Amino acid sequence: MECWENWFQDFGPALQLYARQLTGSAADAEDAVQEAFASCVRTRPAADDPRAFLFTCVRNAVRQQHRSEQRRRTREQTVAADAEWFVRPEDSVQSDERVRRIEQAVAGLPETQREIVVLRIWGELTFPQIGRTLSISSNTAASRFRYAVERLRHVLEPEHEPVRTSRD
Amino acid sequence: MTEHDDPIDDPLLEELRSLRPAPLPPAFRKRLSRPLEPRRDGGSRSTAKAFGVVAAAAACGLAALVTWWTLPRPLPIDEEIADRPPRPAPADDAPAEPRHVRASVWSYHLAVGTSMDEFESLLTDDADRLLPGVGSVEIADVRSIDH
Repeated sequence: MECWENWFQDFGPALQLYARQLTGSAADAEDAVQEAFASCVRTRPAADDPRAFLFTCVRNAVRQQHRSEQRRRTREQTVAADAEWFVRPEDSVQSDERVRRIEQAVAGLPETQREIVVLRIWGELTFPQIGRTLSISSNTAASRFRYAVERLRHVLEPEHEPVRTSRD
Repeated sequence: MTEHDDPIDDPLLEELRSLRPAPLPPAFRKRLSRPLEPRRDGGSRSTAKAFGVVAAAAACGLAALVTWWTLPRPLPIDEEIADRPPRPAPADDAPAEPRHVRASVWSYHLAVGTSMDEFESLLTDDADRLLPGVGSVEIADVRSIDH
């Protein structure tokens, strides 16, 4: 039981954030996270990569939810931002308004890009892990992430200059 | 560094990373711990539920079988006939006992269209031919016959 207690502490918020991207509803997201933890306890995943396994479980749980027509209708009628996605660190210089803008910018991404942004930035998965979670290649995951970041930059930093990468 | 590494010194990514995902609601932890508790019997809930349904159905079936088995059943036809007392054999030489017949003429009256008088005379005149062995015939009043 210690195992999932630690996972809950470490990954719970990020899993919830990821589930919200896929469900659009805080209630459905909680259901998906609960199912993910229950799957972990049932199947006892390999301890070497529980993080990626948990995100995969959340994704599968959301897929299961999608099979219910009623859930789909409820989800469509629910405002995606029915609860705050992020909490601002106390020592942060960001304003609440800025945090809300970031939320809206992330919410405005296509789902295929949005889930990769969440997995990469807040789930702290590597691109190979993301590829396994989403059943895509790591190159595809990386390119979708780059497109997503550029979109966010366009919305959040209109005057921004192109950034240099480590390969430049 | 690989080709998949994020841009270095990207203030936007740093800003995004500085945000922390909102924590799960406090009640969620309690909700979460319920299904995660290990079951003492080691079985899943769905298995236990399925077993309960099967057991209940078996109990109902057994009760119905016992009820049916203990219900009084009619005797088989052969046994019923064997239990009857034997009928006395008719004596061939016994004289026929004159019987009294109370004739109901309602249906005949309606079907043939004869009057009551005509029917009565018919029965009186030809009683021996029409009703052999009948000693007497009483023609009941049509209106008094209870149908």
